[in-house]
Amino acid sequence: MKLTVLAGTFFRMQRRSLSQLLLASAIAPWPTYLAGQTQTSVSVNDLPPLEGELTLYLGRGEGGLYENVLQAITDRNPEFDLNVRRGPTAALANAIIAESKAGINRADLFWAVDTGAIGLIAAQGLALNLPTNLTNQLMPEFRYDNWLPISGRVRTIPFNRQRISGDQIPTDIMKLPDSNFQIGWAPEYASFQSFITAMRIMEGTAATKEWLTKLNHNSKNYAGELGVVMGVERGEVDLGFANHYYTLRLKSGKPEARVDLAFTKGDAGCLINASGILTMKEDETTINFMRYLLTKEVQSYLSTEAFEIPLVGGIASPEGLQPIENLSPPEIDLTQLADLRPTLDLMRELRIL
Amino acid sequence: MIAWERHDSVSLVITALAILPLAVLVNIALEAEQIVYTGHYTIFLNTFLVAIFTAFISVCIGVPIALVMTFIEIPFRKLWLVILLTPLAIPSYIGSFALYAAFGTGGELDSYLPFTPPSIEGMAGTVLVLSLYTYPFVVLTTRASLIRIDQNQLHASRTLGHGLIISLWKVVIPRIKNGIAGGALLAGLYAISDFGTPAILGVNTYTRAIYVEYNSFGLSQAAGLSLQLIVLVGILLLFEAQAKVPRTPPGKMILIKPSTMQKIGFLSLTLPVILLSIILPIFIFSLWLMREGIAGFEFFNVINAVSVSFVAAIISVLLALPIAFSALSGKAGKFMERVTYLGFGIPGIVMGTALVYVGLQLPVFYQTFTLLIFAYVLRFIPLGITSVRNSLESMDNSLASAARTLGAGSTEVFRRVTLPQVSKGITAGAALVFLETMRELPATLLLGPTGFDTLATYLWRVYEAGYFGRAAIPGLLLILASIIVLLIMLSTEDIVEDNN
Amino acid sequence: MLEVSNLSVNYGDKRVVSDLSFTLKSDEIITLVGPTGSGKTTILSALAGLLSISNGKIATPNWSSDGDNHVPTDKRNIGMVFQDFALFPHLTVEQNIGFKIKGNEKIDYWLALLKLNDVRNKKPAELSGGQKQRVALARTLAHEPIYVLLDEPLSNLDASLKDSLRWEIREALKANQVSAVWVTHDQQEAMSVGDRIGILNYGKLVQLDNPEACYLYPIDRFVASFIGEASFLPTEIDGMIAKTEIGNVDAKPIEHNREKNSILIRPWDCNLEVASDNNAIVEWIRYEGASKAASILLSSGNRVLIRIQSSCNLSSGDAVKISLDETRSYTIFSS
Repeated sequence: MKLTVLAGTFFRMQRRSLSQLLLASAIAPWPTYLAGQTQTSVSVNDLPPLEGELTLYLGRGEGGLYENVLQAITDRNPEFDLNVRRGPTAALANAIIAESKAGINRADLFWAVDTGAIGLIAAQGLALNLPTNLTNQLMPEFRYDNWLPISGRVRTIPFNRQRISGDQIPTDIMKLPDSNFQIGWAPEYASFQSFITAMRIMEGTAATKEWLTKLNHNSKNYAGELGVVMGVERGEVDLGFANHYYTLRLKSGKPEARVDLAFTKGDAGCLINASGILTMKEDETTINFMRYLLTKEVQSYLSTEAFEIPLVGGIASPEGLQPIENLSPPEIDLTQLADLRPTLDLMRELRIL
Repeated sequence: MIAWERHDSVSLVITALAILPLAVLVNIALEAEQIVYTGHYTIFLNTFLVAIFTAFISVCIGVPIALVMTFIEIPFRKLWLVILLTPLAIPSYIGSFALYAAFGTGGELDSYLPFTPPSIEGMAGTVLVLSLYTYPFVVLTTRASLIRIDQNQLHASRTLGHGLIISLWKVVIPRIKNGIAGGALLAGLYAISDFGTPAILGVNTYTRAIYVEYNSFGLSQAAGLSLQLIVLVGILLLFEAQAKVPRTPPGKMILIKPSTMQKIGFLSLTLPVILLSIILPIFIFSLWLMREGIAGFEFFNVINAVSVSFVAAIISVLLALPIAFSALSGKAGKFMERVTYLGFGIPGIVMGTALVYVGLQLPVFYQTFTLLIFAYVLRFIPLGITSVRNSLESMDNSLASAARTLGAGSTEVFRRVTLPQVSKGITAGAALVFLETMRELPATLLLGPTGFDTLATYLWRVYEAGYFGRAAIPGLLLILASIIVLLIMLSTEDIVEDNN
Repeated sequence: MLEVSNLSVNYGDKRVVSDLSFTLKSDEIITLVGPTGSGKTTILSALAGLLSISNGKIATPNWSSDGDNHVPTDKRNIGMVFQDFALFPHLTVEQNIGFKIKGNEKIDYWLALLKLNDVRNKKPAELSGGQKQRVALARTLAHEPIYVLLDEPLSNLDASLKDSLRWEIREALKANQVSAVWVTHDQQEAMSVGDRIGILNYGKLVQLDNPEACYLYPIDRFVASFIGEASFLPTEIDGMIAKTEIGNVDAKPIEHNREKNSILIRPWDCNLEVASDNNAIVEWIRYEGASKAASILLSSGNRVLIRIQSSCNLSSGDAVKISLDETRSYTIFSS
């Protein structure tokens, strides 16, 4: 049932409304099971109400739940007007750059699912520096001067547990081509390209080229990483490369799915990437708006409902994923991942793209 | 030497405006440090094949429907016609996703049918899906030229011993080649520039390469690739220009009165198309909606979508008229007309970004309805031109002369003689622009006022978010709203004719 | 060759042709005339199979079609010449004529017979009206139909062409032994080309007979007036003699003597002279080239329309003596 699975995953969405949660929390004390877990995560109750008007460019990939977060924040702050311009992440990034070249500023904030887009805007010098009391709410490895990671996603290796066992998968991503697995990948997908970019930066172009060349003989292309995970589950391939949440979403709709996650250690294979927000307007409301996104309410909502990894301390990782402390992501400046051009050239040279 | 007339000046202005975004694209493309060579002749070939086959299949579906809907007396003919046109309002990615999900092993239909339906994917699947969402181009352009064929032509062929089908083939089809070619061109151009369908169904086309570049912030490279696509667009334009038909005075319209059984037969022929392009997607999405549970939907999306589309349709056909006139009155005019077509073959998101640059030159209009409508008109004016030109082509020249001898000025001739003669073409053009605007996405997202939502943007949001079930209601609304507006449009067609 | 019996055609609830019966003999040309709306074109369409009939039967040696069993047009092997010629504009003359014919022989024959060789490669748009008509005829005849239907074939042509073309068509039909039903609204054309002429009114065939009989002995006053200029004078019947104020003549045998009768007078039926016992005056007179038409006002106040030689020198107001030609018998109508 190739897509009923997929549908089932998403149609489990008899979800708690975040709006209800946020509104309720304004009146009643926050449920005790969340209270006092950390010093760094802030509750919406501790935040000043938002006032005034902001324009947010919301770059969308697969993250539909951000809508609910925005709705909840505006519901909670009646004095606050949020204009949202939605569009494909790359298109909005291009528009922001074009606007700045023309000397017109329409966007106050840019929230993107993709660090590449963030890096692009930052590289143009358009992103303003953020106060440290905001960035310090994040775990140390996610603190940047001029943009704010909101939620994380880790690169994983989903594998079909009927075809192979987890022990067979090397913990070094570069060793993967040595074993003779059938692999599924989605070369057009931005996260995959970021993953290869990270590999290129960490291991060098030659090693990356060799890695791609070897795997390419044994690979099957999918249109997106949801497709990859579904392909793995159906047993079309042994394993694949995908962001973690596709597998978690699939399994939450279909607990008996024959797919499990493997992680490599300290290399591009377990890169943690993030969605992030940056500001182009220096005022208190924008900063306070960003504070809302780091509250434990929003962070746990994104974790439980979107299976994204919370990046402030003390919030539980999404169900089915090991805690972030147990992962060993590589140390890499995420904004470097915007340097996609050589990656694309390489993939194109190898006829992968 | 044909004199330069007033409409030629208007055409020149419109053409210049149409070149504007293309010039911006060239400018953006020139910024690239290196030109992208996709290096695969297969990409060019795939794109070409998708375009040609889509055009061909659209003709195979669209022409018979146009014939039935024009010549045969069936109850609620206009309603049928309108229903058969609505696939044009449905974004093709919605259709391809639904069909992909419905067919094949493990597809949604697998559990409802006694057999496993073949999967819809690859080149064949892409062509099928694109044809299902472009054939109305052919229906409308063909219908506009069919309406002026003398029924005695058909009768003559039948008395000479040919059956109905062969008579249509030998006598009617050659006379509507231009209408068919016009629709086929639009279908081909749409196929060339469509992002979603080839990606979902796994065909490596130019749009895939452009998509990769665009998403990795290689706007210059994406623009460069889009300009390469223009070569293909040019090839299609050349193909289409080959279709010429002699002008003849119109006669009594063909009307075939079949028996009830034949009517049912004819109508049931259209069922597979309606089933695949409209009912099945709605059914699949409803299925998911049932599992997901009904969620909220803002009704004003419908009004937003209908009103901008309607305005875009009216302005587009009004501006298409002078270009259509110019196109028929000389080489310069023909050239201007061809130039306006180029934009329709360029992927919408690249074109939309180019228009952001255009809009930013006039900040007063940036992110306003004015710019949005302007963008719609620039992108979709070829739809209006094709329809209007085809009906002008089949118009009897002596009619205008006759009116002039009766003392009517050129404006009056236009209003009282030409306009009623081409009313079907104008309606067809307006309907095409309307439907295409209803499903337009990139320009709406990039150029509309901030926070402006239409049915298409809402569909895109829920689709991107993976709330596929929520696509059911806006999908249905898209169809219903289109049906209502098209019925109104088609009834004005009658009013214009009755008044004259 | 063609037998039509009790043919009726309805448009919705409206009966446009009712109870039509006639037989078209081989080599025969029947012309059908009637006022607008009398059902002429509908009858042709029914014979061609372009519309289905409500009642009756159309039969030929090869097929027979009725309300329940409709033989489609293309299975009838008939020919039709259309008012607007219906030439295919995208095909040349040669291709039009050879539309569904294999081999060039027949095409060459008809191109030669109808003097179309010079235009064989032209498209219809380049032809004159007469040429178009000849192409249409050639196309029809080349397909060797069992009978030909002509729908006002000359109405779109110049007056100068009409006379010559009507004979060309008739001769082509006769030379090739093709029978035809020829619809026209021109009575003269109907009488000159038809072996028999049928007069239609309100969807009914009022009279079908040879042209002379229809002209001189019409079945009712409608036919009398429709088919040619007619004057009526009161008459008294005495045996076989009809007595009128301008002379006594033989009456065509009629079934009943009636109280009140009138006699049909055609324009050439009267003699006109200027004599001492003048009985009428010339009301008006019109010059028409070969002849003059005149309205004669009788002393009783009745009028007679006549034709005279154009050499005859009369003007309105002149006193004249009018008398009936006694060499033929006349049609008498009651009232």
